[in-house]
Amino acid sequence: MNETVNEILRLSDVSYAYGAGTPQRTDALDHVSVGFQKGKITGVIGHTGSGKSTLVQLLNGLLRPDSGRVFFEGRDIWEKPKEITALRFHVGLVMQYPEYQLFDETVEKDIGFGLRNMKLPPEEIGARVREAAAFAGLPEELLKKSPFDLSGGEKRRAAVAGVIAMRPEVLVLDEPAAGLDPRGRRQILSGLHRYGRESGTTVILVSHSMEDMALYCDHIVVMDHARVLLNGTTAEVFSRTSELLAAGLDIPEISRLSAELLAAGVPLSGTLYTVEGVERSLLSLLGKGEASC
Amino acid sequence: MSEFLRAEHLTFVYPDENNGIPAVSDVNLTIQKGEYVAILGHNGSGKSTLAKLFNLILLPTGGSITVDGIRFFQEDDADDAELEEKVYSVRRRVGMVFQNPDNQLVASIVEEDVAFGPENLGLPSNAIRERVDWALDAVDMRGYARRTPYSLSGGQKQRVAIAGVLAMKPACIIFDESTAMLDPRGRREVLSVMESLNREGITVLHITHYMEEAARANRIIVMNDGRMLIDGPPREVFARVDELKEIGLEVPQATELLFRLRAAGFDLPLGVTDPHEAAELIAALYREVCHE
Repeated sequence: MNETVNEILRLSDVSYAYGAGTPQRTDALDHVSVGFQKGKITGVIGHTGSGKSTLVQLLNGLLRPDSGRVFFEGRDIWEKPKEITALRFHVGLVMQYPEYQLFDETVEKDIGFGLRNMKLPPEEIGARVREAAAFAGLPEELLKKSPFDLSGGEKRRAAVAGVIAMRPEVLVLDEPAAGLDPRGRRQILSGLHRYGRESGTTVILVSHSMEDMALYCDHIVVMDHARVLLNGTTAEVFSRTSELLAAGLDIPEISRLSAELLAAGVPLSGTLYTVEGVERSLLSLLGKGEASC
Repeated sequence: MSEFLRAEHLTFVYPDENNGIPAVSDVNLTIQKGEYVAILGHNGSGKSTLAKLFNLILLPTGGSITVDGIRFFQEDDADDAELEEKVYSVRRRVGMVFQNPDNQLVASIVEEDVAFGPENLGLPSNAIRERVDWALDAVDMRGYARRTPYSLSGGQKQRVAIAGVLAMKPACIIFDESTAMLDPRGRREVLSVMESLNREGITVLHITHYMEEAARANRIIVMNDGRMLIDGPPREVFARVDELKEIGLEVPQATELLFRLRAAGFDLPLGVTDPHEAAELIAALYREVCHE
């Protein structure tokens, strides 16, 4: 795709191995080149060990490539290795199960921790904390509570708010909805979706859930065996059913259903990987009655 | 089938938490030997507490629980030794597999981990060997017996954890969100082990947030605010779409699609969870509309 102009981050021919020089050497990324579009929500999927967690850590400079280069806004992030920590203000990373990293007296202080380190004036810290909490779907009355009195889903949202408050240009989240119940998943993912849309922040979402990807992402990168298997818009990627299944990934149940309907001669069209999309297409076919036959 | 587990007015209040509001409140149910039951409910609905009562990790603060004829209730005036014996007998009958594959394995070699339980039973070493081999076969991990758990995938670690529970020869295994931290492949592996054990006659209780997984069970129990809200076969439970959404749950995508088409006036059944069945129903409807 010739959209490099709009890219905010790019991995260019990047390789990374764990345990290099030992018999246990494992290639986590093998000559990977992939770009991320500015202002879009990109999903990264792949089964455990496919290299996706390594990829996100390379994006914000937590890991340094063995070979190849990582570009942020067109500049090699390792050009001046001593300045790598500055990159983390631009590319914020929410690790898996971030709620274990909450520590402060109140939720408000926890969310504002990074901002105090930036020595921002208190009024600005307060405003940013409230804004971030709202985006993360955290009600304001919870801000005065101890983080340890929150439910699991609320803790998760507090941790996400802490990174949003830093206003990074790119927000990378590794499995932000893992282990949450359906309502908790929806709250956090729809909040992130709205945040990305309204603030123009680039969001990169790592997840195992194809259903979630289908609902919230513009683009999808599929990792398999340390390489990029598929990379395209959500519709493009979900049309490659057999490759997804071969990579050990699930396709949404609704995609299976619509594939069967197509095979049975029901001429569906449009978005066939969300319930809403299939519903829309069916209603228009059925509503027209004989006209569509 | 015969009765395996019975809860009567089963209630549990965590000490010093939640202002004395029960985490499980007045639950009445029986589970037959060999059943495959899924337990649904949002976080904090009481489903994990219920599971912990079923194998006496927690002791009821009200009502009673009877496992394979062993009854426990709060007013039980059994002395400590008797109580300990009861708890021990129940734990041997009801095994539990937890969520995090990294927290459940203790030994540095797979087969030693599986042998941990049987060794504590004081079995002779050839009997231990037999059980370990049998348990690893049952989860299809025999080939990894000498490996270190560290080198395994999440799904493989969970299968080793299941083997460790199996080696105790339990009549029932409770899976407490055991698929939640796994990727799709790992989830499929664990589900298939779960179902093959159930076919061998083991009673399976599966606590999950995934509606598609729950739909595979023979029976679903829905918990809400500590109470049992719904108890029935998947088709009946998932027919109650509005009620489930009300308490923060969902229905499988196939069920949801039929529900929406029905709401738009088409004659389609509620509660169908299988995408293949749903596709056939919709295709038939399409043909009918086109050829009438």
